[in-house]
Amino acid sequence: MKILAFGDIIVHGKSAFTSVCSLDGTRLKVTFAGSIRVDSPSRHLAAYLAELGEILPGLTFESAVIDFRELSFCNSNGFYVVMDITELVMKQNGSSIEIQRLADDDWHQETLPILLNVEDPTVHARITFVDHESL
Amino acid sequence: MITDQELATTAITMSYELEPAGHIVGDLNGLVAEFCERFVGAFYPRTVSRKANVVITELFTNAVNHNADPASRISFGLSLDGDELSVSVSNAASEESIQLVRTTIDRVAAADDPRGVLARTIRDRRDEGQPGGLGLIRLMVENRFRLHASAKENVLTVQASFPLGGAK
Repeated sequence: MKILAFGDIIVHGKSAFTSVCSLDGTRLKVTFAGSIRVDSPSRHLAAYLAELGEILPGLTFESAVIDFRELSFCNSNGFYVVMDITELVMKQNGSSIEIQRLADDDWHQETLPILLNVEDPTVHARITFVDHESL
Repeated sequence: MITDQELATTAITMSYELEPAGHIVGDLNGLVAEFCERFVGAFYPRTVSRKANVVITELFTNAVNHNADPASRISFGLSLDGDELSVSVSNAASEESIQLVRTTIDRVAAADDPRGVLARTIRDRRDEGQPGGLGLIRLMVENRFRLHASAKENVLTVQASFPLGGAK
C-alpha cells in the first residue's frame, strides 16, 4: 500500500483529526479519523486538499473506498471539508465507491449521505454503503 | 449485577455558569461536550452519549459565537433520566439573533421535508462561502431533537430535548 497524501488538524499540539489517502493495488482508499471541532477545518487542511487536487487526476484506480468508521465527531463547520475531499475522489473515478460508516451514529447515517449527494442518481449508482457496529 | 437497562434510567443533572462570557477562549465547548459524552456514556448507550456531545457542541458554539455582551453570563444545563435527554444553553443575544433562531426552528419544524431543508441549507451556504448556520437544523434533522427558543430581557435560551424511547 502506498501513502499518497496525509492531512491532519493539530489542536493544542496534538493531532485531533487525520485523513490519509493511499493506493492499495488498483484500489484507492481515503480514511477519516478523529474529530473535527475547529472553526475553520478547510484552512487547517488546505495543503492536503491542494495535494489531493494535484495527485488524484493523474492516478489510475479501479475502485475506491472511503472509510469514516474512525471519524468520531464532525461539527457543522466540518461538513464542507468532508464534501471537498469526497468530491475530489468522486470526480476522478467513474467506478464504484464503497463508503464504510457506523450503523449507530446519527451523523454517519443521516448527514453523510447528504454530504455525498446521494440524491443525485449518478452518485447513488456508484456508491455502496457498508455499515459497521461501533468498536 | 446491574443491567444496561437499569443503568440507562440513571438520573443525571449538571449545570455550568460562566461569567464574563468574554473570557471564553479556545475550544471550551469541545471540553464540555466531550466530558459530557464520557460522563453520560458511563450509564447510557453510545447513541445517547453521542447525542449529548453533538447538542452541547452546537448550542454552546452558537451561544459563544453570537453572544451579544462580553460581560454577560453563559449558562448551560443538562438533565437526563430514562425518559428524556434535555440540554439548555442561555446567552445574551441581540433581537436579530433571537429572531433568527426562532425563525430557523419554526422553519424546520413546519417543513414537510426537514431532510431537504438540511440538504439545501448545506449546499446554499457552501456555495455562498458562509460558515456556520447549520447547527440548529442539524440538531433537529440529524439528531431528531425538539428545539424551543425563549427570550427574556435579551437573554436567549435554547432548549433541546430528545425522548429516549427513540434512542433505545
